[in-house]
Amino acid sequence: MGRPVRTLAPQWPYAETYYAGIYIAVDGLDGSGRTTLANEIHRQLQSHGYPSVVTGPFPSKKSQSQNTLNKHDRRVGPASRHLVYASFFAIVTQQMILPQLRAGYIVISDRSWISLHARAVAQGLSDSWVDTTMGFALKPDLVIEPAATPLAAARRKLSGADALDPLESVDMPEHLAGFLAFQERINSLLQPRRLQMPWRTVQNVSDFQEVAELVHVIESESEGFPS
Amino acid sequence: MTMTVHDHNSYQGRLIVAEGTDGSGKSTAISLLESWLAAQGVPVYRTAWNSSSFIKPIMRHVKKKEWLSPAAFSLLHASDFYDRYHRLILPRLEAGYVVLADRWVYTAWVRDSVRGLDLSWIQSLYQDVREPDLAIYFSAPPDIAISRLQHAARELKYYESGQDVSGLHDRWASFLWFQEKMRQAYLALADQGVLQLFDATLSITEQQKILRQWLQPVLEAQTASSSFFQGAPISKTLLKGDL
Repeated sequence: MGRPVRTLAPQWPYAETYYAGIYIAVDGLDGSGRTTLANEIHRQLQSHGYPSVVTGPFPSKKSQSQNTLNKHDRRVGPASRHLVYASFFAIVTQQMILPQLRAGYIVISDRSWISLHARAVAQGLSDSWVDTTMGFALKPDLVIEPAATPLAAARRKLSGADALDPLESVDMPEHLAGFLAFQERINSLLQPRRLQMPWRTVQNVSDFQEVAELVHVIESESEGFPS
Repeated sequence: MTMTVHDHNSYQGRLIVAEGTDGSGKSTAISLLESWLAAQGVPVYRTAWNSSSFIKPIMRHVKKKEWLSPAAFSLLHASDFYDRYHRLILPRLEAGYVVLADRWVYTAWVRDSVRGLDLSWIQSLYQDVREPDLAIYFSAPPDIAISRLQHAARELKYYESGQDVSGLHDRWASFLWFQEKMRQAYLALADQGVLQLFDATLSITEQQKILRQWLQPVLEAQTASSSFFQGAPISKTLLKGDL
């Protein structure tokens, strides 16, 4: 049996109704260190002999680069842009996440629908409509968030990119104040989810011991449902 | 679906929609209607399903990979639709154009529900979209549609033939199955009065005669382009004389 497939829209027509693995979402502010954390969890799980895999929101590098071109074309509106993200994430869910969960893997989503949803709503789309677009998405067994203030997230972003993403901004694209206001918006959108879902926050993604404790929790969960 | 709510149904332009299965002749009919309207000075714009220049490269890539689940297929086509809707269609409807749409949201209702998705979910994706002033279903039996396509020597594609859901290896057999399923879904919409049933087995000339009659009451309040481009209000009767 294993864990039941739970989707955002009730009773999404997936062929499988249970999976043997664990679905973990790593979500949080833009620049909070999601990728660093997802990779470290994956590394530790692997080294302890647990089958795990990290998936991003895109099915391929090409689709990611196509999306980058698309999202930075100012002529493309927020609804159309979001639907491309949603479609790519539907591909990832159907082609990667679900088969790997069914095969007993611990699947770590480096940015799941939770971040995609918050971002779309923060950009002005209606909450209920974005909910609809994500109806296919799986509810994770655990959400892990790297804790970060908007300023810390901005600093991390600027260490890896030339400039701040103009789409992650309120009113003043690429200005720090616009980025900070946008991240505050994301933060407030994530708040109800933090209370409703199994959610853990990692204070320092570079703290080996803190991540190790979290990995231990995941391994204990995994023991409860042997594949 | 944005936080600011606009009633797109109050825009002064006219929206005429042609729906139907592949090979039903709707694109030819729409093209002829466009020429006819343009010749009379009507400000007209034609748009086709799945034709956004921004979404096209993405669509091509994922279709080639055969990655599209029904949900991904539906969402990507919705992305294409909304790109055209917001950039190309709505500004024209607001400005008073006649927009001829070769497929509208009903294509998604029909195709995606045949692919197994819940109809109410599909309808929610398109919940605030403008309702057409006239929505025509070009009804043609699958064998006629297929012979038209074969005559055009077109090669069928994987998703077009419904092979992602039919489980049939033979592309034409799958296409026939898929088209019949969609035809039934279209007929149900016509029964409900959502679409106006049109006999697409008639000759092209006969079709145009009827379609022009159908369009006349819808276009009566439109403005001729000579005054339209000078900013005239939408009040003058446009279509005059013989059809």
